[in-house]
Amino acid sequence: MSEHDVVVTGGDSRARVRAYVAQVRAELSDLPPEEVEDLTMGMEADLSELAAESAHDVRDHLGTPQAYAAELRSAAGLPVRAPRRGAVVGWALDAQKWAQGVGRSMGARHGWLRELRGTWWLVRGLLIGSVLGHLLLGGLVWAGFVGLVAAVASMWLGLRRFGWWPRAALNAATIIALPLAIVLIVSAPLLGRGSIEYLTPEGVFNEGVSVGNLYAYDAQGRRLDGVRIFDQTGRQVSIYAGSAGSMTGLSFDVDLGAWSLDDKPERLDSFPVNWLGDSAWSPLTNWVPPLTIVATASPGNSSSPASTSGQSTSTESTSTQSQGNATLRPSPTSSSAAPPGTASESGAATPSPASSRADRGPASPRATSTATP
Amino acid sequence: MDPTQLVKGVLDLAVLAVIAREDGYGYDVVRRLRTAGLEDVGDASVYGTLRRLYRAGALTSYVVPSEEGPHRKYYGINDHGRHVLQTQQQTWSAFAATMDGLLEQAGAQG
Repeated sequence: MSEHDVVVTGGDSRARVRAYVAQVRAELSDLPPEEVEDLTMGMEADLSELAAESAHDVRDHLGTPQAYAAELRSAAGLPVRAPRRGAVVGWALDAQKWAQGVGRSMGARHGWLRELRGTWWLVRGLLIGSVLGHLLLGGLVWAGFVGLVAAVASMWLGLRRFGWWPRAALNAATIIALPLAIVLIVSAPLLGRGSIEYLTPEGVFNEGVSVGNLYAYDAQGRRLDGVRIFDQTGRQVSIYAGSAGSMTGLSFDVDLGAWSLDDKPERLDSFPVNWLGDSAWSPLTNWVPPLTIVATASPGNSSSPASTSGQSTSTESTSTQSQGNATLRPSPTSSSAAPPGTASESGAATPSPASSRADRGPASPRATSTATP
Repeated sequence: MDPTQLVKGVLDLAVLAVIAREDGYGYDVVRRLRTAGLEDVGDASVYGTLRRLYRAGALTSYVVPSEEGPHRKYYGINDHGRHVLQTQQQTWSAFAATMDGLLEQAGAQG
């Protein structure tokens, strides 16, 4: 073997040795870095010597790097290689190892950071708890309550020193909860102001607009007085005086905490309500309640010919839709069932047929027809 | 009988004995063991054993820088190592004597 040959094979085998050592190190990568360094330090020099002594490749002499590493572990009393994990788990473990290292060195360098850990445990619990409480249960009271409970639980977890993953999960949750908490805190005053609108409003609403009065007509299209209306649960429909306040010009009495109604009760449940003391049928807005309206076309109600002929509303009804024809003619019988406010309003010029008496109660249409003639 | 299995049981003792005579690096220890007659000793087994004995406090270790190429890692024995060597030597001697006796009896009967 000439000197030139030695140099060539030496250079070639050195690369091979280096590759072999790198592969062995890779097989030991699950061990702490200092352990790997200790195990493989000087290995390159040794294997180079081995390679120089023999004409064969180091692999022929030592076997595969995997087998070599396994033998090394076994002889050194180190655990066999941990099962390979998926990329994500591996990445998470690397991140965790890195974070732990950073945490340790920071803790060692700045002692006061360690003393802040208790505060951190409290804050993270409070943060996660209040966000969860707010999102799942709603409301600031729940957010505060759940937040406090979670703060205590987080403190307890911190002191108990569980494995790394519950702590890592908790800290990750805190990072997620932080922006949410900021959003909630910033929007809290807005939400607080908005929540007033969610209170169930008092009174009667028609398509979202407060109802100030109700005007009822029977099947023949005639006005009805003293009508009482019930909903599906048997509650009587009543109009909150405040609803009509803006229309009637009533003023809100601060001392009473109610709309000033003079002699009228706060809730009125017999319709139409006489707000102005003039007549129950006097217009509250620029709409004038007509005297009659078109009779219902349904066969059940129109089957009583007496009612239509007696009042001849069928011919008149179309014209009464216009405001000009809607003269104020309150029914004289309205006084009997009308609330106190409307009771005074019985000075009727033109008495309408007595149909309203029959219609007042839960009487059937047949009763109406018999009463008319 | 597989000599590799036999060697494994006494590798600690063999390595300690080699190092006790003179400090050495990994491959040097392997070579000296083979020269002494332990042909079947595995390279990785020796390295692992050196590492384990070092961690157990029986060996010292130092790095010798090399002007060309990678550094060498030398191992030397210390007091604890010598004590371990002595104890294990006694265990081995007793064991070997027992085995010799056993085999002599077998030879006498056969």
